[in-house]
This record gives sequence, C-alpha cells and structure tokens, in this order.
Amino acid sequence: MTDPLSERRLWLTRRRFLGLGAASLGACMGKAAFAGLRAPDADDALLAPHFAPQAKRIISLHMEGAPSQLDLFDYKPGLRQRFDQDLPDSIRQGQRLTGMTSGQARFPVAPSLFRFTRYANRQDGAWVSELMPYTGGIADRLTLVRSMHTDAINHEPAITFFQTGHPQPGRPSFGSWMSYGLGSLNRNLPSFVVLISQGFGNTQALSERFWGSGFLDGQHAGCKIRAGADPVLFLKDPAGMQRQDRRAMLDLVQALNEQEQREHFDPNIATRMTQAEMAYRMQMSVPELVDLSQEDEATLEMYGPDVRKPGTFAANCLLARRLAERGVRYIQLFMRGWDAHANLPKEIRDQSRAVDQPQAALVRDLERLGLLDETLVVWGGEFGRTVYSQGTLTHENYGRDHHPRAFTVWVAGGGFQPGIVYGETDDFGYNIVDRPVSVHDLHATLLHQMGIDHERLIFRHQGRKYRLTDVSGHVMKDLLA
Amino acid sequence: MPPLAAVNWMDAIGRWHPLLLHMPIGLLVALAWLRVMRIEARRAERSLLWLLVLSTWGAGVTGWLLHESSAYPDPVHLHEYLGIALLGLSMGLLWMHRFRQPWYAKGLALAMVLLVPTAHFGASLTHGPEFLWEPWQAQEKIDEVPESVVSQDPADEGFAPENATPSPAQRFAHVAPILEARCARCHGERKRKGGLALHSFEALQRGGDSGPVLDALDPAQSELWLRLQLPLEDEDHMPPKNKRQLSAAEQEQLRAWLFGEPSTPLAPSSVATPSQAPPLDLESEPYSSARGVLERAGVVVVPAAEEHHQLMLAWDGAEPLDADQQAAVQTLAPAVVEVRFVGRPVPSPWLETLASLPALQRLDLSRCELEHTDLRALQPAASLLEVRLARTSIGRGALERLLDLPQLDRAVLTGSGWREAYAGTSLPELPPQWIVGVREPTTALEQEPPVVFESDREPETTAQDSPNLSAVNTLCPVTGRPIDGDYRMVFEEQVIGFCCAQCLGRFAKDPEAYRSALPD
Repeated sequence: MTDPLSERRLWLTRRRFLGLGAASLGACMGKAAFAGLRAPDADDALLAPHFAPQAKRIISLHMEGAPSQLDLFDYKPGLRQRFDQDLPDSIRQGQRLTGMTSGQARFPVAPSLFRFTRYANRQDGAWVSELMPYTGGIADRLTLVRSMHTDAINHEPAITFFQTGHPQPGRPSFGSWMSYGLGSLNRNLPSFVVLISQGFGNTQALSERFWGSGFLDGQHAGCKIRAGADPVLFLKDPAGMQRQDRRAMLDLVQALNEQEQREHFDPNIATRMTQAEMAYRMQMSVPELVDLSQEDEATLEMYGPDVRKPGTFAANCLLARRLAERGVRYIQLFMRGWDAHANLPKEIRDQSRAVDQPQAALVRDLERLGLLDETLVVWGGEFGRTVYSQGTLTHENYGRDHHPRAFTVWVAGGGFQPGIVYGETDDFGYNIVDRPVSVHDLHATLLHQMGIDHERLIFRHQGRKYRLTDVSGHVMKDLLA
Repeated sequence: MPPLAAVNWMDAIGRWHPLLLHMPIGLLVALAWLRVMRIEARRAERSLLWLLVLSTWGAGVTGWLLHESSAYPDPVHLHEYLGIALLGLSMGLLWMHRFRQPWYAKGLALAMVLLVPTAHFGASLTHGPEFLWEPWQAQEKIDEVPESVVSQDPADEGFAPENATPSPAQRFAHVAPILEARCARCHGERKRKGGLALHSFEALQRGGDSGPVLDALDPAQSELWLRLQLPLEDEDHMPPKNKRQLSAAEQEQLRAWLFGEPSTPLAPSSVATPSQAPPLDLESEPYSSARGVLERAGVVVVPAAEEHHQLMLAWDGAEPLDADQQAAVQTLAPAVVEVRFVGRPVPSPWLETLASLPALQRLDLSRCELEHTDLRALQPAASLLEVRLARTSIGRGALERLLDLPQLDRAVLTGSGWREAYAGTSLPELPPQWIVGVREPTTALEQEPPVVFESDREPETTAQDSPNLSAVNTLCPVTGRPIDGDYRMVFEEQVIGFCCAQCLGRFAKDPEAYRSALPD
C-alpha cells in the first residue's frame, strides 16, 4: 500500500459513490471496481503539474509577528525631515486601526533609525538597511516586492491568510496543497515539513493549524521537525525494540487495516496506513537528515556561528537546504518574535542579526549546488508595520503597530526575475502607489512556478469547490524571468 | 469497450436526450390537434397527458445530464430554461385538465408557443445557429469574401503559373490535421461555436459571426492568428485556456501556412490528437507494471507535466537496480527526462544505462560516489542539458567529457574536486553559466550618510552648529589623555576639548602654559 496513485484511487466520497449510478453499484463490492472510482472527474487534482514547472519546491521563511518593512527594505529617506510630525490625514484616510493604537492622541511619524545602503542588482540598485548586510549582498538574486498588501490586521487571521489563502481557519495550508497536488519526491520524508525558531522580540502564538491540512487528507499536514534529541515526537522505537519486530507488528496492523478499509471505504484508514509506513521509513531518514556532521566547515561558516545550535534560524536554514536536496516539496520555516510594538530598534537588531546571515547563506548555498533555479525561497511577514510610532517616540526608541496596507516580501530563485525591485509605496510607506501585489497574487504566482494553474488545483468539500486562491489571484508575470 | 464501472454514466444517459425530446413534441402536437379539431376524447387526453409529463421529465433529466457532462455554447441556457418551463407547464396541463377545464386550452396554446423557441435553440446547438438561415445567407456570404481571398480559391488553380508557390487553399492540407485536432471539436462541421467552422478551407474563408478570420492582405492581422497569440489568460485566447493548446511546432506550421512560406506537412505523430497518440498513461500496460517494479524498489516516478509524456525518476535510499528494475527503466525510457540519483555509489554500467536514456535532459548525481571519475560512462547522453555533480569527486578528463556533450548547457561542479584533479595541467575553458562554486555577494554602491534627525523639538543650534563645535584636538592638552566631548572651550576661535572639568579649569587659568600641546 505504498503506491501513491493507487492510494489516491481508494478515495471514496459520498459524491463519487452516488455518482457511479445504480448500474455499477453491484460492481462496487469487488476491488476491481476501484478503477472506476476515478472516473473522469475534472475536480480531481493530479499527482502531476498542469504544465512544465520551473520550480520543484518552496522554502518559505515566514517572519512571524511581521517585521518592519520601513526599517529593513522600504527606504524612505524623506521621513527623516518629518520626525515626530503628525501623520497627515490624507495618508491615513481614516483607516481603521488596531485597538493598540486607536486610542493614541496623535500619530507621530517615526523615521527609521537605521542607515540604508544601496546594493547592486540588475536595475539601479536595491536599498537595504544596515540591519541586513548579508541580505543586501544577495540583492542581485532577489525579487524584492515592496508593494505587498493583505486583508487582515491581526496576527492570527493574517498568518492564516498567508498560509492558507483565507483569514478564517479551516482551509488547507499552502504546503498541504503542494503535497496534495504534486505528491512527494522522497517517500522517506514527509512532503511538507515545518521548522520553528524562537525569536528575541515580542512573540505571538504559533498555532499548529498554520500547517494543518484542513479538509484535505491528514497525510498532507505539515510535519514539525524539532530541535534536540527527538526531532519528530513519538518516532523512536521504545528501548529494546528491534526493527524487525516493528516491521512484523506493522505488517499485522496493516493487514487488519486493509481489511477494514475494504469494508468501509473510510479514507482515514488509508491515511493511517500511509502514515504508519511513512513513520517506519522516517525512523531511518530523520536521524540522517538532522545529522549536520556531514557538512564541511566552509558551509557551516557561511551560515554563521548559530548554525551549530539546533533550533536557531541558522540551523533551520541549513536543515531547509538539506530537506530541499532530499526532495521535500514545501519547507516552512517560522522565525518568531518580530512583533515590535515597543522597543523596536532593540528587538529588530536582535531579530535581524539572527536571520540575516543564515537566510543569505541559504540562497547562496542553494545557488552553488545548482538548486536555486528549481527552488523558490520566499521571505516575508504576515503584514507590515506602521510609519507612525506606537507609544513614545524618541530619537533612540519607538514602536510600530500592525499595518496591512503595505509591506515587503522577497522571493529568490525558482524562475522569479532576479535582481529587481517591484512596486512602490508613498512617501510615508503607508499606501501602495505602484503595482500592488495581493497575497492571492503571490500564491497564484508561486503555484504557477510549481507548474500548477491556481484555478485548477481544486478540492470539492461540503458541496463546493475550494482553491488555495479562493476566487481571486493573478499570476504576476512581471515578477517572472 | 471499457469496463462498466469506467463508463461515464451521466454522459451515457445524457446522450439519449436528442431521441427522447421528440416524444413530448409529438404528444403536445397531438393534444393540440385533438382540441383544435374538437375531437372529444377526455380519457385519451388524460392518458396522453401522463405520457407527456413522463416523457418531458425524461427529456429534461437527460438534457441536464448531457449539459453537465460536456460543455455547450451559449444558447444552451435559454434552451434549458425554456425546457424547464415546458416541463412545469406539462405538469400544469395535467392538473388543469383535471380541475380547471377552461385553462387547459390556454395552457396548451402557451405550451405550443413555448415549444418553438425551445426547439429552435436546441437545434442551434446541434446544427449551428446559422442552420435555418443558411440557404438564404450562403449566397450573400460568398459575395462578401474579399477578392484577394477569392482569387486563391481552389477553382482558380488553373490560372496560377505552374511553378508558383501553391496557394493557401492547396496548402490547406498542411494545416488541416492541426485544425482538425485542436479546433474542430468546437468549430467543425457539427458544432460551430460563434458560427465558425474550420473543417474545410471554404468554411475557414467564410469566417464566423464576428467576421472573417483570415486577412489575405496582412496575415499577421488574421483573427485566427491573433487569437492564438493572445496571452493564455485572455478570455479571447483560442483554444480556450482549459483545452489543449497548439504545440510550438504546430504554431510554426500554421504561421508558415498563413504567411505563405514554404512548409511541409507535419509528420502524423507530431500532430497528436488525444485519440491518435494517447499520452503515456502510467496506469496502462506495460508502463504500469514498470512503474510498480521501480516503486517497489523505492524509486519515485513523477510525471513532469499533466499529460504524463515526461517522467522524472527519483531514487531515495534505493540500492543499485537489479535486472528487472533496469528493464523497467528501459520500458519507461522514452518518457524519462529527468533523473535524480543522489548520494550513493554509481557503478559505471549503471551510469551508462542512465546516460543512454534517449530523452534524458537533467541528471542529478550530487554527492554520488562515481566508479570512474573521468565520467566516460556519460558519453551516450546526447540529449543531456544539465548535469549536477556537486560534492562528488571527479577526476582528470571529466571536464573534456562534459564539454563534449552536444546539448549540455550547464554543469554544477561545486565541491567536485575538479580544481585539484586538474592541478598543474592546463584547464579547459568552462562556459560562464556552469556553476563551480559559491558566487560572491553583490557590491554596495553607496551608503546614506549617518542618520541625523532634523526636528522642531531639538534646539535648532545642536543640529546647525554641531560641526563647528567639534574640538580640533583629540588629546587633552593638559594630561594627554583622549578628550571627552562634554568638556570644551573656545580659544582663539578654535574649539579645544579636554578630558575632564579640572583640565578645562586649569587651561582657562593659564592657556599659554599648554599652548605647545595644541595642534597647529
């Protein structure tokens, strides 16, 4: 029961069952009839791309808590002259604010404290702040989108939106859609893996459902790989158990499961069976995966000193590259701690120091192994931060509130156009004035590079069709090489 | 015949619609006839009405199934709504016949009226919207054809010099299979969406409802060509986004025909219609068992595109293959475009097997242990575009071997030890797109000056005067220690800094004593 195509065939839903019609009901009882269960059904996603793909996998670096675009990538030197001036009403346009700043008497403009440097790219250069010198050094590999916008203003719905294409919980995450639509390139590892790094700033909750499979089959949910002695919980055999004993036990349980499956057509049984086999194989593949001793000194050095400390962003970036090499479809990194409502300068310094060198190293490492062309590296938070200060504004300190109207995201590799800066915000970095990109647009474009037409990757659930991009999203051809 | 369970039942049942629908038509006419001729037959009428209701339901349900299982052009909705209205009315007639005698005749008249457009729209779907008017319009249409096109009609062949290039009409045979395979399902003899049919040159010349599709004076402006060139996302793009698109070769063929360039008909195999050359179906034999053999050996077989023409094979933790498995690879060989064989020993015969796959474009051998480091086994890989050898160890001769591969565009040699292998000998020149190591970071072009805030809160003087207030010396003239910015005084129009308050005091009392310690 390890053949993914026949596993897919075992999917029997009420709709499909009824769709067979009375005439073939009798035939349903035998296993031979299963061939018919996959009758011409356009809704069925394929374990194949819709067209020749540019990219084979995605590494998503999600900066949880939302980093300040104004202190990292969206260079607004004009604001330096407007220190502590009130944000003009013509800019805010009465926008609804969060409860954290809506009570403030005034909204003083807080220019960035950090110096920016212009790095050579394939246009007239990209301005990156002193907080991210290494990332500046790969500006010629990046597609820097300064005109992202989102619908939600609070972390929970905004992360849910970014991860699942809908602000309310319950939909499958991006990685689950990938796993469902494209399958895995390595049957010894899950096709969707999640790695989490703790940050240094104000931290927000990180729910497991951000990488859940929603209404898709449970095997498509993200698998969390943890730092420390037990990377995947409950994977190890108890002390004293032999591998052949485990095999014998699995074979017996699988036989019983298969019998049950034949009688009840319950897709959850199929899931359980696949997962048990996957876990058995992962007992061998995971220890090899997390063993960084095979990496040479030069590589480790590239990722910076933190790389030797499991669980850090540096270690997870290196792990992400190892997962990419091993054919995992979707690798989701979370870096927590970007939610700087107060003490932004201090927090963002620590946060940036932790991510800058490793993320640049990841891109350059993939590049040197020839993998960058077929790997999409996506960096961004769930929204941006306000130009006005939350709390007291001084020359040394300020805070920034949530800002969904404009933020910066970058993508490297996977056929995105390298070395460009795309889109523009107004002088306050508040509203987008040129070429906006929505979260749906980004999703549609990423799917397109994976060889998937976002309008055709569909799952029917509760009587309607669902897509990652819901009812919108345009492939942004301008971003592509 | 496919197994029963594989039949699309919706479609199979739906196709009875064109037969069933004639029953209610006949019955309605018969019922109307009885009334018009004032034939008293109440019991017969009741009985016929029951038959009418049943047959209308039959026609309705099959019609709906037919519509659900395949797409139809636009009047289908009008046809559907009118049909549903007729179904309702026929049930109403049964009821009126029983309870509301006076209404029955009016209802019957209404049904007869409704029947006409329903039937008309239905017939438009099968015969084309022009079907009824065609005998009247055909003459005008031909008159409208531009002269330049008319002169290229096959009838005019005799006038062309014998050695002239064949006319588009003669050369129509070159593109007919393409149009037949890609367009005729909707724009053919039977179904004519938008009034356009492309099954013959005459039909093509006639164009569609919105005008001619060929422009003889400026072929590039031909609607046929323009629609094809629109972006796929555009709603006017043809063929529609969800249908099979023309391949590059087919487009080129069509272009050559349109622009009157010499061309030869494509080989039949390259104009594949779904029925002529089925895509390599992983679930049919012998591919299915070959796939099974490989997957049991731990090889992932992935379609590289929807139609399964192209496959990628990925080895993960598998042992080198036995004879059965090698045979399975050979079975799938015509479709294999990519092989990932990462991080394990590669015996030379096995590498030769991979290299001789006829369609292989990408080969990933990263972290592999090669038996022969000069890569001589790669020689047969004529179609190879990219090979990855990162973190392997290749030896002398390998670079020449790679450079010899005719199609090879890129090799990844990072960490492959090629520099060491070639130490002391002349290195062959490597193409710039080859990856041989980590690339340098991009350069910083300029840096903004240190951040200085100009603010109305700050006293004006600090920002304005601070440059003038910086000390000219770096060491305290009294003690020789580094100065502290807080202790400064103006002396002979220069700012002098001190290390502490005491020194400042001493200097102020007797500046001359320390003059020698001041910078010039």
